[in-house]
Amino acid sequence: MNQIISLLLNQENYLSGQELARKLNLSRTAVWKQIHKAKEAGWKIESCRKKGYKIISSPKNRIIHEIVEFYFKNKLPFELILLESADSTNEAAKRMLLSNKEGSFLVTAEEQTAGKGRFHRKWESQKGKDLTFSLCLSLDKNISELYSFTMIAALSVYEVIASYLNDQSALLKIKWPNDIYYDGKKFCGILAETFAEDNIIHHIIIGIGININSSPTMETAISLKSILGKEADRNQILSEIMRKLQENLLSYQQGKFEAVYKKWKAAVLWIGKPVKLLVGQEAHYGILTDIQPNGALLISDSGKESVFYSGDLSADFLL
Amino acid sequence: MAKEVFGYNIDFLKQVKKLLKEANIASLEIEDGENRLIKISKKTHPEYSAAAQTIIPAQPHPHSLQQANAASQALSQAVPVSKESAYSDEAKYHKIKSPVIGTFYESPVPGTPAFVKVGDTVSKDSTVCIVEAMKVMNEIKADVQGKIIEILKANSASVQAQEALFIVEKA
Repeated sequence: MNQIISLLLNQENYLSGQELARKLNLSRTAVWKQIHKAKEAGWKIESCRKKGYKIISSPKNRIIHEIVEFYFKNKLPFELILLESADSTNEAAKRMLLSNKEGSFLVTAEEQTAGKGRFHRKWESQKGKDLTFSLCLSLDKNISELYSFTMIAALSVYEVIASYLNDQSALLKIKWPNDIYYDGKKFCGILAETFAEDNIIHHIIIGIGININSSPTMETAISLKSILGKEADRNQILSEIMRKLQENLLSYQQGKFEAVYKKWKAAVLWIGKPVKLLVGQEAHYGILTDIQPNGALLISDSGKESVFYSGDLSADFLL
Repeated sequence: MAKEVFGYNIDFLKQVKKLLKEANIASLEIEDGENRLIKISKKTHPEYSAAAQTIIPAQPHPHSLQQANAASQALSQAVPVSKESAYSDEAKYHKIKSPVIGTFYESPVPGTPAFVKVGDTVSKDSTVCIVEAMKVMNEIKADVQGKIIEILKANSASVQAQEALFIVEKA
């Protein structure tokens, strides 16, 4: 079925059953059976007696491998694994690693039953409406390089979403360490998990949740649909994010991380502004003077500069 | 036009005042030339101020200052001695160290039981804690088989790279 869909997607006009059979080395009956199966799966395929078959529309509200590939126009940079439902895609990716899955891969789920943020704070998404996926990268890097990867993930999502917003893209911002906000409302959350052995990371799982076509119930959240007023194609967005991930990872591998960092920093909130950083129960106030390439925050308080690596950053404490 | 006091936006001043209050300052006055802009004073907690006086007298006597210094020196030396070097025998003890700078978390979710407690036996693959840096959760493994005999960090404490977190008595 997959190959037939791919062939039809890349064909503007009708493709005859005979032609399909020849290209796939199948009997015409087998082709007919596959077309029937695709229709059952939700594809609208027009069959015209003398001309052949043509795709009218894809199954609604689904991420489809062939469509992601179609938009990507090339071999996908990571193996793409589509799940109907998962507790969370990070947990699913972890289980795959434990069963000795190798290489880098990207797992998506149409539905997350226990989507989580930091410390298992709930991440809400709507089935078939949003994008929830985890990128698992297999690498052998020193743990000090860790933050480069979440920076790359945040920047890649940011660049794709910004391209949909046109002149409103200035309202899209990255909040340290790696969430994305639109006009002060949460748009995308990123949570990475890793397991270091002797300071070497072999795998990093970067979980990404983006509100696309849902209507978030929380006032502090926003989706692409609520900004644009219309639904967007999740398959296309996912394929564009994969492309940006590939590009930015390549820059990193070629020793051009500085360029990634600069773009990331240009999109980050509150540099030069008064901020509050909550570390456990302890609040630190000061001016956010800089964020270093390794992700460390520099906060200056009465001329004394301190470095921070974790905490909850905010700037609305003045209100 | 926003209201102004001596050339300063009143909302701005209010915000400054609120911030300073949160910062737990006992008493503070800000003046601009002859104009007093902000005054904050808090009643200090009696126990706290009494304790503070014994350590740093308001008018330090040379002798008592020396004593205080000696005491604080002894204190700063005493802490690490009791914590770590007692376990310097590497054949017997293993220190589980943090690979990164970050925040130490004893449990996967706040309010749930810790991954491990003193007396627990661990194997190489046991997760003992999470160290978080920049929203990357690092699951730390025991890396050795044995028994947890000391936990050196409190939940949500800051940790340095290569700082010891647990002492394990090797099995």
